[in-house]
Amino acid sequence: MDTILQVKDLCKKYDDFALDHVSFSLPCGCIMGLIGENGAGKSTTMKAILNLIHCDQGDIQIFGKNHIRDEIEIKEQIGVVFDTLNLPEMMRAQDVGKMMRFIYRQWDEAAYARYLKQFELPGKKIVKDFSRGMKMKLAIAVALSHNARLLLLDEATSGLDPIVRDEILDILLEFIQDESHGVLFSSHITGDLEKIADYVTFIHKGKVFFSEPKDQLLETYGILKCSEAELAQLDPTAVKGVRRHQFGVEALVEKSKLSGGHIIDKASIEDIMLFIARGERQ
Amino acid sequence: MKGLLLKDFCILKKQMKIVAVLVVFYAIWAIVSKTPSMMGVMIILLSIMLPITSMSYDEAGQWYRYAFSLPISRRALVLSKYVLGFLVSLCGLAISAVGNIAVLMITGWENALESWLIIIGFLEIGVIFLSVVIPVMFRFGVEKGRLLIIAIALIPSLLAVMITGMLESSGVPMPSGDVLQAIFYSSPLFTLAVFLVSFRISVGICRKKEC
Repeated sequence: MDTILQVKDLCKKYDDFALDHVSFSLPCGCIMGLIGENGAGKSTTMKAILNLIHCDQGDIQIFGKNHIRDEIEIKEQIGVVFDTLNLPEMMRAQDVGKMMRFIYRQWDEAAYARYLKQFELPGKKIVKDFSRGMKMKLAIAVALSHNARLLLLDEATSGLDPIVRDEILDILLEFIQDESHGVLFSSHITGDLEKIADYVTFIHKGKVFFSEPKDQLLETYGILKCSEAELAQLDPTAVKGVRRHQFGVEALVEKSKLSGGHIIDKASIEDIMLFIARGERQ
Repeated sequence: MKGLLLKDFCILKKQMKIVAVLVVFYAIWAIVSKTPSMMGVMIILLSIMLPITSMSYDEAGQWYRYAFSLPISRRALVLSKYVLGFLVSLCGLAISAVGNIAVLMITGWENALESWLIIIGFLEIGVIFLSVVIPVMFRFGVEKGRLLIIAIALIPSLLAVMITGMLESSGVPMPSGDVLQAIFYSSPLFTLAVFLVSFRISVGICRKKEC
C-alpha cells in the first residue's frame, strides 16, 4: 500500500510547548484520526504539514514529494478544512466558486454546484449569514471540488450538531472510496473517529503516543475492573493507566500481557485517550 | 492572483459604494468652493484606504491561514495587495482627473497647472504611505499596525514642519524654482522605487510569517 502522507521526526519548539519528533504515516485509501487533548499539538502538526509554520527539524512527504520544495504542486491536490471558515464572510457561495476557479488549476465548477445543491447551501446569500454547520459544509464543498487527493480536517466537526457531523462523516467515507485518496482528521470527538477512522494517532504533550490501525488498537487494549490488591499482582508493563474510585480500580491494560482469567471490558478510543492522558497526570 | 483580487473586490464592494457617495459629495464641494484639487486629494486618500481595509478584513477572518493552504505562493499573495493598491490609486487618479477637468471647465483654467500638481503630488504621497503601511500591517497585524501607522503619518509631517521652521529661522534660503522642478520631476521615480522596495520587504515578511 502506498503512503499518501509521511511525517518524520517533526520538531518545533515554542516557549511553552514543543512538538517532539512527531512521526506517522498515512497509507492511501485510509482515514487517519489525530486525537489528543487541547494543546497536545494536533493543530501544530496540521500547520506543519501545510507549511504554515517553519519546523526546526523533520521531513514531510505528501504524495511522495517534499512539502516545501513542491509546495504549490502539492497544495493543488489538498483540500483543507479548519475549525472555522476562513473564507471572507462578505462573499457569497457563488463568489467563492468564481474565486477558486482562478486559484485551483483543476477547479471543478460542476462538482462545486453539485455540492452546494447537496448541502442545501444558497449561492446568493452572503456567507456571514450562514449557520456554523453551513459554513463548515461550504468549506468542505470547496475542499472537495478541485480533485483533491488528500483532505486535511482540523477540528472540522467540533461545535456541530450530531446530524451535520454524521453527514460530514458520510462524505468522508464516500471520498475515501477512491483508493488513491487519504484523509487526516483531527478531532477530540473520538466517537466520530471511532466510526470512520482506519488509523488512530494519539498525540500527547507534543509526542506521538501511538499511531496504529484502529482495529488493532481496540484489540490490544481493554479495561480491567479489579481491586487494588489484584492490580498490584499484574505485570506493570501491561497496565497503561489507572483510575481509582470508591469501589476499586479500573485499569487500561494490554490484553496480550495478562495471564489468567480476568474479565476485561472493551475499551473505546476515548477510554484509551483518557486513561493515558489522566494516568500520566496522576 | 486574479482569484485574490476578485476576493478583495467582493469584500470591498460595500466600501466602494461608500467611496462613490463620498466622491459625489467632494465633487459638489469642489465646485461650490471652487477648489478642484481638494476633490482629487480626498479621492486618492480614500482609494488608499481600501487596500488597508481589505487587509484588516483578511486578518479578522484568519484569511492568511487559509490562503497559505491554497496553491498560491506567498509572493503572489503579497503581490495581489500591491496590485490592488495600484489599481485603486489609479482609479482614484482617473476619477479625480475627470472631476478636476469638470471643475476647471466651470471655474476657468487659470489655476489648472497647480491643481494637477497637487493631485499628482498627493497620489505620490498616497503611494508612499501605502508602501509603508502594507509591510507594517503584514508584520505587526492590524491592531498594532494601526498605532504604528498613526506614528508613521505624524512623524514625517512634524519633522517637515520643524525642519522648515529651523531653516527659516537660521536664514537658509528657500530652494529655487529649478531645484523644486527637479524634485518634482524625479518624484515619480522615487515613489516607484519606494513601492518596489516595499514589495520586496513585504514578501520577506510574509515568507517568515507563521499562522
